[in-house]
Amino acid sequence: MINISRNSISKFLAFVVVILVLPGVIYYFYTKSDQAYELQKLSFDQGFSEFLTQLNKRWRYGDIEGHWGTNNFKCSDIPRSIEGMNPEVLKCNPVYINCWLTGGIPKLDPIIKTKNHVFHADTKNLSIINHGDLKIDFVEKTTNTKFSVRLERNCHQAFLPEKVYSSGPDASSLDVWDNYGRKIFVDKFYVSNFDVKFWKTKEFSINSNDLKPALNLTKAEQQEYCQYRGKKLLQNHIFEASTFFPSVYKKGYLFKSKIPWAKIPKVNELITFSKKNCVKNFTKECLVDQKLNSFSNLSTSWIGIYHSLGSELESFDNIFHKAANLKVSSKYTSISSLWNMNSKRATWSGQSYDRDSFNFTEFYSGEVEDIMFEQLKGVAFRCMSIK
Amino acid sequence: MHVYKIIFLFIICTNVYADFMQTTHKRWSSAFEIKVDSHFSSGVPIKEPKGTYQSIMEIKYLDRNFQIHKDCVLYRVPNEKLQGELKVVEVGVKEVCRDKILEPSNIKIMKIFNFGFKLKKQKLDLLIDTKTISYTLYNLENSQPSTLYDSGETKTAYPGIFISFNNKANGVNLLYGDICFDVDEQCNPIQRNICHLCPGSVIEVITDKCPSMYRRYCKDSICGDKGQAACIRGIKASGYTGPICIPGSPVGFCQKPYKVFCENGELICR
Repeated sequence: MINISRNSISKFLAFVVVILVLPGVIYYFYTKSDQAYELQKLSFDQGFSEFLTQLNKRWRYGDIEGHWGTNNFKCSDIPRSIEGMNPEVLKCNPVYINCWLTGGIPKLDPIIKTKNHVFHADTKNLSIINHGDLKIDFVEKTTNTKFSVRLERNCHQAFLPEKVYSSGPDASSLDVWDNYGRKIFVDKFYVSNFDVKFWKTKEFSINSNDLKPALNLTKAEQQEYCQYRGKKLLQNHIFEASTFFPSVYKKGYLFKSKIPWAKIPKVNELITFSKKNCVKNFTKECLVDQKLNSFSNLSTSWIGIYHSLGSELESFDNIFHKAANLKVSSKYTSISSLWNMNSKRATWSGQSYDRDSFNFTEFYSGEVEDIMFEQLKGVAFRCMSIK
Repeated sequence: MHVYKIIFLFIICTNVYADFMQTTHKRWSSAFEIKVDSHFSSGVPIKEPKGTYQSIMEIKYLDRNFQIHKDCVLYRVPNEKLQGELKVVEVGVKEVCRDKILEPSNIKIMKIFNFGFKLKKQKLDLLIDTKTISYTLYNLENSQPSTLYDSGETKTAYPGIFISFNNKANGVNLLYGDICFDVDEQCNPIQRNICHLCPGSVIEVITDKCPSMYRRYCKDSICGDKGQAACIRGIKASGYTGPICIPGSPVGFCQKPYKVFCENGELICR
């Protein structure tokens, strides 16, 4: 009798325990399952795609509404008005994104909302990671899903089409090459003071001098900057391919234009100054009326890079002829200068900006012509990347 | 007693699937590279070889610092005596999954009768008996950038954007000297392009495999210098149709005074 009684009691107790504990256990596992389900649901949800589309648009197109320069723009880290301001600056710009996400543009909600979700950025932890890309931590409030986003800073590049090209001014040059099977991208603009400052200090601010080209780096520093961005210093033959008026290679011959914007210059175009030509070729005569910054849309080439002739002296690496590494055509040369044509190259040691570091003998022709050296502020550069 | 068993089984199954989903979703939604073992195909149930563990695929994914981790997806094919088991083992980025089939794992689903997977563009489905677990692969590059209007972002689902749902923070980076893109003799990629994960820039190297696509290393050096990769002249520009990896190969060139040599299947300047 005692045994039966004990057995019954223990069964009863077990039953009671199960009844009491079971709802808790089921709730625990259900919520666990729900969390996974929510993450899965969020991953596929239209709302998440919409979030990424909104973020991508803000990153890639920047100030598309044109708030910069108006009372709607209250970012303490970006001057409301700045010399040479151009909305291009704010594309792929971490300072602009920081400004937006911290509520510096009242007409733009810093909280990203989609149909079913609300996304908040952790603005205290915006950080710069590999290649100078921006990392932002987000939390989706309805599901409490935390995630991080990395935004590539690649808004200002132009693709070099796959073709046969050749290096140097000679139409029947032996320095022929092709880029079939290669995806080469060239920076559209010079590297700016902002880019370099951001590289060195990671400081989320833009000041009045920042939009000008970075002109005070040694060549080693220029290379180092490009490497940091996952790129290389622009190579001379890539710049030439990007700026010669396009032509088709036939039987060892590739026509080489003297200027980037036409096959043949108009009469006197390279002799007589015309103010309207400053957008094609910013020479010293243009300085009377205009100033220059990194993001000027001047001298557009056929692939869409700027400053293809004129503007600043520009530094390259040259894998065909190491010494032909400096484009001299610039605001320091006149319209009729021998330098003021495609593929005219001088030599810069790259170690300093002393007079002795430059040799203004044209590499291919041997002609010599000096520039306004005492006014020279430095040498600009840009990068290229292989994707 | 049967009631207890059913409740117990329900809890276990819910728990196993929930755990598996929760853990793997956070990791694999952040995947940037999936290599499926050549013995297995997308959409085909895995039935053989029975009773053995197989390495189905390796998945590389990003953590919250956008550094790299690697998971091996291993499956024991069921037979009359052994039940099917799907397990995930995290390994070092350079470790080989086939060497890890006996490693224990906390992330696993047991008692599986049928298993397969579907991998299409930027979506991975695991088909486990009657259940399907789906993953969107946001960081997987889907195509090579090639248009005139392209601006150079990496071609993920949202170009130029990488996402990590993963809370881990102890991954590794690619290192200088690592191959970040490679092709075989048929010019098909054998290493998906992950050059955006290099610490710095990239150098292309002409190999004896494919004449029109080039191996890429994470490396900051410039081509054509002594001991460096030969610069690329290209097949069309050189008009050359002979074997590529030979001394003096016209497909590449070096800066003066160096000359082109073939070493270990690559064109190098000496």
